[in-house]
Parts: sequence; structure tokens; C-alpha cells
Amino acid sequence: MSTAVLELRHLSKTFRGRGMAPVRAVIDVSLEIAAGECVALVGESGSGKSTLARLALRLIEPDAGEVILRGQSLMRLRGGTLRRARRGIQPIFQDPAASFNPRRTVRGLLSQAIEGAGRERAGDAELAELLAAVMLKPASGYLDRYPHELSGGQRQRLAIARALAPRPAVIIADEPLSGADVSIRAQLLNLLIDMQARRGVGYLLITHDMHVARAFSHRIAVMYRGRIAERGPTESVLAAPLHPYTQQLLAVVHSLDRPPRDATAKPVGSAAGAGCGFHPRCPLASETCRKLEPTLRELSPGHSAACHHAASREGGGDPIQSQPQRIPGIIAC
Amino acid sequence: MTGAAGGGAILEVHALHVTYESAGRTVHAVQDASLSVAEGEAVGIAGESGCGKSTLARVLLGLVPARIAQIRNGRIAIGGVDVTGFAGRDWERVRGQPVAIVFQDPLSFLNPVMRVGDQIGEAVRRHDPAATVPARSAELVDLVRLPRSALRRYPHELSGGMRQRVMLAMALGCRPRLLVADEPTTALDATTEAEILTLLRELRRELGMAMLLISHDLGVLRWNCDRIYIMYAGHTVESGATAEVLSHPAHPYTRGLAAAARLARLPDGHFAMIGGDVPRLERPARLCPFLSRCDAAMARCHEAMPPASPAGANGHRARCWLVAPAHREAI
Repeated sequence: MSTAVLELRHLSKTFRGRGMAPVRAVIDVSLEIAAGECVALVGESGSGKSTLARLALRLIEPDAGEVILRGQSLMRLRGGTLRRARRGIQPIFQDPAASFNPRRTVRGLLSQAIEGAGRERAGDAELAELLAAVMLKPASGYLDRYPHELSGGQRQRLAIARALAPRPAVIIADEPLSGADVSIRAQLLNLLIDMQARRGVGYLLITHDMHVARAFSHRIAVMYRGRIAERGPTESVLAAPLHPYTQQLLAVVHSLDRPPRDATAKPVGSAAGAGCGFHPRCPLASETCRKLEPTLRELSPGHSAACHHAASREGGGDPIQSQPQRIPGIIAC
Repeated sequence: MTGAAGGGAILEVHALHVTYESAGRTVHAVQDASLSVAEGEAVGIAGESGCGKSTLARVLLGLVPARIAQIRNGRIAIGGVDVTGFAGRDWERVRGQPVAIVFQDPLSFLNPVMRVGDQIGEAVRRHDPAATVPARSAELVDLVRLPRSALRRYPHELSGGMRQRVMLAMALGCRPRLLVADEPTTALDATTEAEILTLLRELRRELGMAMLLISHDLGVLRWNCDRIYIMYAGHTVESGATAEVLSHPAHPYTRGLAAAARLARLPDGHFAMIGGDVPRLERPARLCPFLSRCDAAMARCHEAMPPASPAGANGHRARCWLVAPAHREAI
């Protein structure tokens, strides 16, 4: 995709520690995000989602692969050049309280984000505009307060304001809504929608909440044990999931309108060794699956899965109720 | 708002008012909460942060010291025993048996330097003196579908889901008739959450145990509870059969909560949300606590607190002037 603002190419990362087996956290993952597009990255704890986010932010070094922002590879940049380029990708973390310097006021935190991006001093007018964008109004009531004086929801909105301050092309949000109450979740998603419409910000949204993925993303990528198991347009992945892992994820969703299927405990510590990483948990596992690692194949337009059995199967239907209005309309408005 | 508790009630809470005192400030965390759980029944409490649901759960078992939390009014009965005035060792009469509790975060509950088997064994020795400890411990890990090898592990060696199963095994070791589960799956990812909820459903079937499930997740409550109570700002504002309340919510707060949980879209493309902020709890509400955020508010709402009134089938009740008989007569 030539319009990609952020491209992750063949990223791999293995963590090695003394006296422990190496952990292959991310294995040959490629993903692209277009301007104004939201890609949801879903998968269970330990699937490598957060490591991929940290690789994309270049907070950790990949063993292999490239991060390309607006056509420029970040891998060869060093020092100040890297820091400036990296401001085009901004993170929002799950716990906003832990990501703020507690001794800086809201004014200090936001000014630092703006000035750090190499732009001139931030005036109160610009800060007020940022705060208004995240519904912290009037600005005079917030600029001189410290993060601990704000409520959880207000801090999460401040985290969004700070991420937006350097005018990034892409925001990488790692579980920004988990633990948030549903009314706050809707409020934060509305802010992200507004920024997408107004500034064309692209999002990589890491979440284990399938409702959020369904409602907010254009595309979904499913990670399992460090690899992309499936990716494709949101509607297509939800209506016709190709990978048995995606089908299992969708089956256990507790939605208000459809009962979940019973979940049996996954086998513990099943080191898959050779073959498909999912075979110990897969109802379809065959001899081939135990021997041969499946590659990601495109099976319908833009919709790929890494499963030997995927081509021969119809999807399992949409376990989460399909949303009548889909997000592409947002970009148009 | 005591629900349809047919047979004997294992838990009854009536008009409970609980305040916290801290640094000279008083917080009315629970102001007027009433609920009941019948033997064998699964009941949910839904509400957002700060609505008082966890305070309620802790006060039920006397887990908040009296100098911090005070019961100002109301009554709690467990298995027919009035525990409202309980202090100190009185609580041992009800804790574990007939009521046990599991929390969101097993790590802060489990002893980090004690093997899982020893911790389960301790619970067995304390609450089931007649049992042979190793045999009963093995039975309990089987019951929560853990491998026996887990008994030799330390808590940090287990995954979040396995730790939650350990805490559950310890609670079940007391042979409770009511299990209070306070956000038991909130810290877990969706797959593990589903496994724990499935286990809870199976255990309730096998043991005939009642459950009070506290959660902010309406989807979780929808499929795991017979009846549900919606809490807002310390008040139980709506209650009834879970399917009825969530499909036909009568209280504007419940309606807003359900729309937000479904991520329903408004015509402008935004997601439906509840505007405004939760009220401060420094003094008890005299009017409906949802008034400042309610888009259905009318003159009556500014005059008096609405009573709990019938709002639909199967014992559905709501504390809202929209369904109060006085309002119905007026229109």
C-alpha cells in the first residue's frame, strides 16, 4: 500500500535472559497503517502485541526488520534525528498515571510534548485548543493542576491530548481503554474518531476488547504467539473468521446480545515446537499442522490467514452483532 | 428493592447506608442499597467505578475496619443472621461459611512466599477441621480444574488465570453457600476470562452454590446471572431478571449504560455515551442521584427522591419517576 503512513516490515524480536529459554516475542510481522486508518491488533496476553507496539515506537530494537514512517526508515536514524522523527508516532499507554511526570502541571506536560517536537514555544491558546479537543474545558481550570488532581477519565483524556500535541501521523495505543468504565470508553473512542476525521491520524489500537475492535477499526490483525494468525477488513474477519484461533476468540466474547460459548481451559505450557504454533489448541490440527509452519496467505481480498485448513472452510458467522453503520463513513465526514 | 427471593434468602441487604471517614471528610459510598440473593441463585451487581459496588461487597463480610467504614443505616442478614452490628471475631460466624469472597487481584491476596498447596491446606484446616488436608486439597484443585502439580508451585509461577483458580479453590474449601465474586475476571484477557466464567457456571451447577457477581461488564453479567441490580452513586436504581432489565431498561442510567456497552452509534457517527460526571458523594442525595445527567428529567425529579416501583415483568423494579405510580396517574 503506497499510502501507508506507518509500515512495519518483517519485524522480529527474541528476548534472551540468562538461564532461561529465549522467548520469541515477535516473529516476522509485517503491518501497514494508512492515514486516517485504524488497525486493531488483538490477541491474548503474551501474544506479542505490546512488544510489537514497542518495536514500532522504537522503544526497543528489533532483531530484524524495519519501521518506516512516511516513507522514511527509522532504523538508520540516530540521536536527535531519531528523536524528532519518532515524534511522528505517539504512544498512549494503558495506565496514564504511570506515564506522567507527577511533578509537572498539565501546562508543563503539554508544553514539553509540543516543544520537544522541535516546534516553537506553546502559547496558552494552543494548549487550550488541545485541552478543548479532549473535553477538558475550560483550560484555565486544568492548566495549573497536577496529574494526581485529575480523575482517571480526565487523566486518560490528558494522555490523548499529550499524544496529539506533536501532531503525529500515527498513534499507537496499547490497551488505552481497558479498565475504563463503558461510558468513559465511549467518550475516549469519540475523541479518537474526531482526531481521525480532523487530522487524519492513523491508529494502531492494541486491545483484547472485541467490541472495540469491531466498532472502531477498519482492519483487524490477530496475533498468536508472536505471529500474525489472521488479518483483514474488520467486517470480513468478524463475519467470516478464517483462522481457528480467531474463531475461538470470537466465540467467547460476552456481548449483551449473544451468549458466549463455553470455554475449556487451554493446555498449559504446551511448547508447540515445530509446525503451527496453534496446533496444541486447534480442533482441526492434522499431521501437516504438527510438522509445517503455515504461512500467511491471502484467501479473499485483503483477508489473509496463516492456517493450512483455512482455504477449505467457510466462516463461522459473526458472533458479535454486526454494526449497521461502519466506520468508513467517519473518514468521509 | 428486594427482589423475588422465593425460598430462603442466603443474603438480604435492606436500605444500607455506609460512609467512609478520611482526613475529616465523609464520603457516602453506599447510600440506599437493597438486595437479596436466594439459595442457589446467581445475582449480579453492575455499576461503574465509584458507584459503591465493591464497598458493598466488603461491608457484607466486615472486611472494612469499623473506624474507616461505618454502617449508618440499614440492615444486612446472612443466612438469616443479622450481621449489621458484628464486630471483631463475630464475623468468623459467617466468613468462609456460609459466605466466601474472591477478588479481582489474586496476587495481593495470596502469600508470595508460601506454596499454593500450603495456602489451600491452611484454608481447609481452618474451615473444614474434619477433612484430611492433603486429600481435600487435591479434591479442591481438581474441582477448579488445576493440575495437581500446581500445589507445589508458588503464586508467581502461575498465570493470572491459574492464580484466580487457586483463590477460588481456597474459597470453595470453606464449602460456602454463597460466593461473592468482586470483578473476578477484570484483570484477565478475554480467553482466560471466558474460562473462569465457564468454570464458575459449572461449579455453581455442581455445588448448588449461590453467587453474587460484581462487575462493570454488562456482557459478563448478562450470561452469568439470573437477576441483576444496577448501582449508581451508592443507590440500587434498577433490578430484576437479567434479560428483562438489560433488554428493557427502565431507568435512564441503565439505558445509557447498555447503549455504551453495546457501543451504539448516534446519527452523527459518534458512540452513545453518558454525558456529565458522577455526583460527589460528600452528602447523601435528597433527589435522584442521576438527575444532573438525565435527559428524561422532569419537574417531579426536582421535588423528591423517586421510590422503587414496578417497571416490568419478573419482578423488574426501578427507582425512577418515569415508572413511579404517582407519575403514571398524573399522565
